[in-house]
Amino acid sequence: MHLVELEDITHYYGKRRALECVSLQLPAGRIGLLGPNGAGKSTLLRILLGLLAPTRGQGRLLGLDLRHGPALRRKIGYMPESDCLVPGLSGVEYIALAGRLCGMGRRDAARRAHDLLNLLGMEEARYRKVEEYSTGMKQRLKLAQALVHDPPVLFLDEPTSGLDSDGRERMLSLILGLGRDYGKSILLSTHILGDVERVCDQVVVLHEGRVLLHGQTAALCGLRQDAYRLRLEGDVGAMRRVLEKAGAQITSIQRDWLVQVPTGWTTSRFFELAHQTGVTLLGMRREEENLTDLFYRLLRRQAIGPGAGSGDGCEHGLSHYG
Amino acid sequence: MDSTLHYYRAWGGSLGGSWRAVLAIAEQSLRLILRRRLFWVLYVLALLNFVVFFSGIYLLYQLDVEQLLEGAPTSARIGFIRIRDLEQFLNFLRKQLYLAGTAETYRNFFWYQGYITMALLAFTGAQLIGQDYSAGALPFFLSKPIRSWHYVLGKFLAVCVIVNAMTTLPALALFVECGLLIGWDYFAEEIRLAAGSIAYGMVLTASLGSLVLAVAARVKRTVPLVLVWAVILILMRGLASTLVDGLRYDVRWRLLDLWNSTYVIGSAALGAAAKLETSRRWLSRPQPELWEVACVLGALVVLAWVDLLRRVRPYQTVG
Repeated sequence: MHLVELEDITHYYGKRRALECVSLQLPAGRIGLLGPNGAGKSTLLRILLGLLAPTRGQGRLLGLDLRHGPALRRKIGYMPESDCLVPGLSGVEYIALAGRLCGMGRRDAARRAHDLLNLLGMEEARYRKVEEYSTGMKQRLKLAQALVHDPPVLFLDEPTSGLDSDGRERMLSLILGLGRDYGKSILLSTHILGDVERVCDQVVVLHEGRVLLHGQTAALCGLRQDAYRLRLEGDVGAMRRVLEKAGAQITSIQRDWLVQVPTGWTTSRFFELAHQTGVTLLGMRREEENLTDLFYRLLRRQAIGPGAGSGDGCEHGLSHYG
Repeated sequence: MDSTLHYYRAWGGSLGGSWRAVLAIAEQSLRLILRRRLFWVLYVLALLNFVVFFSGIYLLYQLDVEQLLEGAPTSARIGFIRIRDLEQFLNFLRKQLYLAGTAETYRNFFWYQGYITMALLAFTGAQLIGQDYSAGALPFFLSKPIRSWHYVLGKFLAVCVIVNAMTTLPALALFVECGLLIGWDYFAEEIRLAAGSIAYGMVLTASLGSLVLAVAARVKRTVPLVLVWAVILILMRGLASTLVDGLRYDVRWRLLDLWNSTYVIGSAALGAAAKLETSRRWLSRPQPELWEVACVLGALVVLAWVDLLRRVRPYQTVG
């Protein structure tokens, strides 16, 4: 059974289009939902949570129709991006309330709240008012309320937002552990590509309400266009000409060149060309393209490619790789 | 395995239906309100009113008994207080304050008690529902396996408890007091007064409760909420009174006065005339027909619920 099956999901807010012809079949696992602001990530989450009926199209989550909101949300733990805390309650009361909202009895909810707060390292803070918590503690509390009914699926909206590097690393390893060791399917909505790279095995990239790409994170990383940082001595002009003729793109960075090479390039080609032009290669270092650069490069390619623009119908061209 | 997840334990229990969430929301709302000092200040004020009625009923009964036993004395002594004209004093207690355990006793009690309830709701409305908006807690509630009306119902249940704890319960306590003092026959003969008190409480709950939730969902914060509440219940009351009593407009203009409307229906439920025999002359002025009042109040409650449910729409919950 697929985790998510969407068929031509389109949604309009009045006349403004938020999602257009989103068709996806995602197996269970850790999935990153990537896209810049306004890409449609939040609208897609609303639809998957059964909180918003799409203008057109249909879908299922774990075999359940998206129209069955409460039944759907029994299977989902949702961690919103906003604070979503209830002022005046202590941490343990807040998590216990979450449990009771999911249908737990009073005693079970309290016990579960204590379990989760132990797990998330909030032993002493649990009796403090939630409004007194630091950002990191609030994020952990939000994760705890999503986990309270032990759902098979977690929707995490910007879980590392506002965290320092230690907090971020801790949160990501928690999420990774929940997915990898406890079999939770995770839909991680974020604009931080590094988070997806760290946690997710699949990725869906949204742009302007459409699916730009989806597939394995590893395969997406395979689309990286690597670059080499070169330091040269001699007739560098001749070297530049031969490199450009071979299809490389060159950017000068102080004394070095950053050379983006075409697919299939090997380092020995640099030595051959250096030998041809009488240039001495003083240094060479490989630099991997990060996902941010890759994402925006793919966006540019999409904008000028044959699939650019948006038709009225649902065409399924690009998108799947890996 | 990640070291931080060694203690993760899967949940093995079963989950109940969404109705449990209604109770949980009501409980949580009440807990937050009961933790506020202001609630207790207003509750003590409400209790003072109750104590006045309670002791007044007791005093009237004691003086009646004394009069019977001592063959119509002209004066009496209560502790250090000497009552020179006992007959006049008894008339004051019976016919002006209506403390004889009649329908008017309960009607007047609800009238005065309602003022404090109104004030309490104005100050607690923001705590009940407004802060869920301002603190962004709505996504927390609505992303759980409940529908938006479960959430609204939970909040309404909390209002219901507050209103009835301040009006219906003390009124029923007065009923019990009257029964114990006057005699067991009172319980059987005047049972309609207990039923009427419950009905009056329900009218107050439905109208004030729905309205305060709808207003709080819009204005969210305490001070604006108190101002809007004052406009609805005080300014409109003044306007209605000016139009009907001052400018001699049609009596239906009094329908603008929501507080009067609850009073008219509540009085009818108790079987009492909709006027207070006090120095306030305007309270005994003409009233619109009962069915007109019921229609306007009913329409207002329906509108408040429609607006409230629209404000708690699921798509406000994400992002």
